[in-house]
Amino acid sequence: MTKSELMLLLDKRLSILNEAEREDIKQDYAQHIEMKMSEGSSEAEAIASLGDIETIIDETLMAYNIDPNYDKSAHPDIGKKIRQALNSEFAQKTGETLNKGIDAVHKAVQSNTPMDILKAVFKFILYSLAAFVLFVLGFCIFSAISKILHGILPHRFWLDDIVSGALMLMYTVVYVAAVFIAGYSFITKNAKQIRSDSITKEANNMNESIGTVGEAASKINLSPDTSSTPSSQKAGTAAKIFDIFLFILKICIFFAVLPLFFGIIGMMTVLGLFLTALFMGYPTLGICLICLGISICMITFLIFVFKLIFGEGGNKNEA
Amino acid sequence: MNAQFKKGILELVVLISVTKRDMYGYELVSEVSKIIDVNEGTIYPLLKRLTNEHYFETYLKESTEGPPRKYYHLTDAGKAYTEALKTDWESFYAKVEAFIKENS
Repeated sequence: MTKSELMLLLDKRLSILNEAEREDIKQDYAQHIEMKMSEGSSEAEAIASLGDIETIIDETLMAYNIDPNYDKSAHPDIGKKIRQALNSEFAQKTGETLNKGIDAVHKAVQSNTPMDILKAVFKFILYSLAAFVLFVLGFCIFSAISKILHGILPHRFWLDDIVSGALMLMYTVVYVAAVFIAGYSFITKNAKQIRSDSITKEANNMNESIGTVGEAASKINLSPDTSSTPSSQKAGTAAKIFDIFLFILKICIFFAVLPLFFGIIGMMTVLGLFLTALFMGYPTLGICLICLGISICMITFLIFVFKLIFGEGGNKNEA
Repeated sequence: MNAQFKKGILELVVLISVTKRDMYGYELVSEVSKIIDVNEGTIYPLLKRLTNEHYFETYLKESTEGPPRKYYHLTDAGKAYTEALKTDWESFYAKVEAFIKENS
């Protein structure tokens, strides 16, 4: 953990305190770290000397008579209720799983910028679409197989009906289970990831701004007559305005492509209908292919937009 | 040393350190951590609590190097509390000491 990350963490976890108090506390630790570093410790050593940060946060809250677990009980503990109600091993596992998922979503929503949440929603919709495409493709394949089996197998004891029906049922069950598992891992993993993403991103921003301020300050001290200081400040504000402009532009693009989602969903539905018609014996193969093509085009375009909107931030992080 | 034990004594040591003269946070923390082996970060919440309970008053004072420092000053209530804690500790210590001698 770096100093700026620590400051961010304190900001977040002590958000219940008023700003003056919070700043005062942050100042204490910032000064402590600076003093340690001026005595020759590294930043990491200085922060390590503080001890466990979670303990510090808990004890700080307790100094104000605040229950350190206050934000952990802010959302209903549905999983626990289920655990208590059923009280079996399987039910306990289910409850825990549900709890983890809810907790992850809760944390992600609580501690992320609107942009990150937007990103997660965008991703979620994309994955849902992908899942739907997979479903349609799988449905086609299995329908064909079951049709063929239906034709091959003898009609004695409704063997053909039972086998083809069982095949479709199996496909549906497997698909639903797969989607459930994938969805769950997506939520927990993504929630964690975007959370840490946003923290490092903010920390980077903070570092940058601290860097520019420090630079400007040292320039003022060393050579008050040079004109470099105001120009660097000007460049800073220009960059900031540009960032804001870019952000607004991205939001606009996002809302512009939003109808496309519904377009794709509509296209998929139509595709499904025609496919069903196709397997019922109507000559709709051409229309099916057109629908599939349009859907794939739209998804490709969406992925492109997605990269355009959110890709830059990722590159910046890596650099 | 036992963690709970340390926590109780930490408060007394912090209060006594400030009795002689006002100190700023880092100074106080280094002083106290010399006597009791404790994670330095956990002393700040304690200072906060004692301030919130009006045993400490804080004021900012310019320093020759770096930003102004926050000094802690023991209030009258703080002095009374320190005395009470000290008495508690002494009687507690005497009792335990006597008990140990009796049983060894």
